[in-house]
Amino acid sequence: MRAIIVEDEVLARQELTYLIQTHSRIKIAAEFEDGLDALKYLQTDTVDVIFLDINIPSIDGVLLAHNISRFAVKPYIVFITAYKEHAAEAFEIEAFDYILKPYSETRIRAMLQKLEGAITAGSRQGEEGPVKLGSDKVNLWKNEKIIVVDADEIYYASAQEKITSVITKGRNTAWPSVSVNSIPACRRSSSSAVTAPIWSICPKSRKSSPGSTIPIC
Amino acid sequence: MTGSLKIYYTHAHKITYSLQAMAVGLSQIISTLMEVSRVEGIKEMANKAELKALQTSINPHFLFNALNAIISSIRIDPDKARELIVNLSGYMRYNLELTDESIDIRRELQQVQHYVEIEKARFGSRLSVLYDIDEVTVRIPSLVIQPLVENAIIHGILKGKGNGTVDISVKDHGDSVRVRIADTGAGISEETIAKVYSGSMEGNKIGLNNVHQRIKLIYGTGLTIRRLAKGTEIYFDVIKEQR
Repeated sequence: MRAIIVEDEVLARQELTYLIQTHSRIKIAAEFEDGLDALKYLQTDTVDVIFLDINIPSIDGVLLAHNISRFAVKPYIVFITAYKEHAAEAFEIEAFDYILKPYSETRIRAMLQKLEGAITAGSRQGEEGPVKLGSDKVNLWKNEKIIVVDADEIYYASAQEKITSVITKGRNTAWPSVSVNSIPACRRSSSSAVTAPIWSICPKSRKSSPGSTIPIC
Repeated sequence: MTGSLKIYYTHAHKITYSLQAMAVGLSQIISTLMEVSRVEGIKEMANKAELKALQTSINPHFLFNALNAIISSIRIDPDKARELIVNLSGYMRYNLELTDESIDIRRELQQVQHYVEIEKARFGSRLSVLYDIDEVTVRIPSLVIQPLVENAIIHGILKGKGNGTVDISVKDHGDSVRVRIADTGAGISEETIAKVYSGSMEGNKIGLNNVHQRIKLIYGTGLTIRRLAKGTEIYFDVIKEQR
């Protein structure tokens, strides 16, 4: 989970960084004093969250947020400011939250928890959420049989015409442990033959861990 | 026309045409005077309301940001936090105790210092403030220097990227004292200068306009505002009281 802070007050920036690091697993990728610098950074780097002060040099926070809201992949925007009169505008651009100065640690902790939940759920605005699976097991089809493979066992998948092959790590006697097995995979409904587009793993697939989701295109 | 004037004469049928004309003239003068004093009263009320507005217009945002700076420094630098609370208290006390009477310039400068310390803590290296103050004894209307310094910081230095300096100088010129605020920031637009001079400034930029009007009312000449090669310069002359 990556975030940037856009805030032109040094003390406010230090304290916010401290609160984020203390109460969440969110990493601060960069800090900016200037709206335009932040926008430039976002053209090349993607982050999950932006903590955004409204009253900043070059372009103000509301304008910056308007720009960000047109991104294909939108990070969450959390406004942090003493200027309450911008609240209505902020919600118009679907800000995730709106924190007022002076900071309330309780309020910020609650916001960070909500934020982590939202990021983990992967329901990022503007991005089609990855398909959630009940577990991290994938059903594959081999020699007329369905086999259950751990997601971690999968090396990669390749598509040939309408058949997708999933290459997995061998692990029992049926598959010699050192070799890599090529198996034609089945499609989601395992009843029909291997004629339809089947599985493939999204190129930007995150490293999966137990309980996490495997994006399926 | 306001009120009525009645003149009684002790003898019947003695009011001549000239006496009658004089009575009419008198009543018109008195009526006009009453009208004028009423307008003056309204104007004074408006001035007081504007000063009140100026006092309160500074408060909310600055107060919350200052409190946030204090909250943020408590953990890292408690001594700084303590200092900032004293600065904020001094600033607030001055604002709360204000009347529309003039005050010693040194008190106003102290207020400026309280304000500047808080802003310096908030913005760190982005803001430098230099003082060049002559030892002078002169009274000025309250809240004329601080809004100009605030203006220089917020609309000058903080508008642009990078660091900036605000120069605050009070110079003894014999019969008068020149108060000058200059910054190396974004620079005021000619349009804004014209608006301040003509008094057609929009309501939200009350600070600069208000100071200009009040200085003009008291000293005859308002602020002199100039755009520099880099930044803005504003000054006004305070005429020393005759001994």
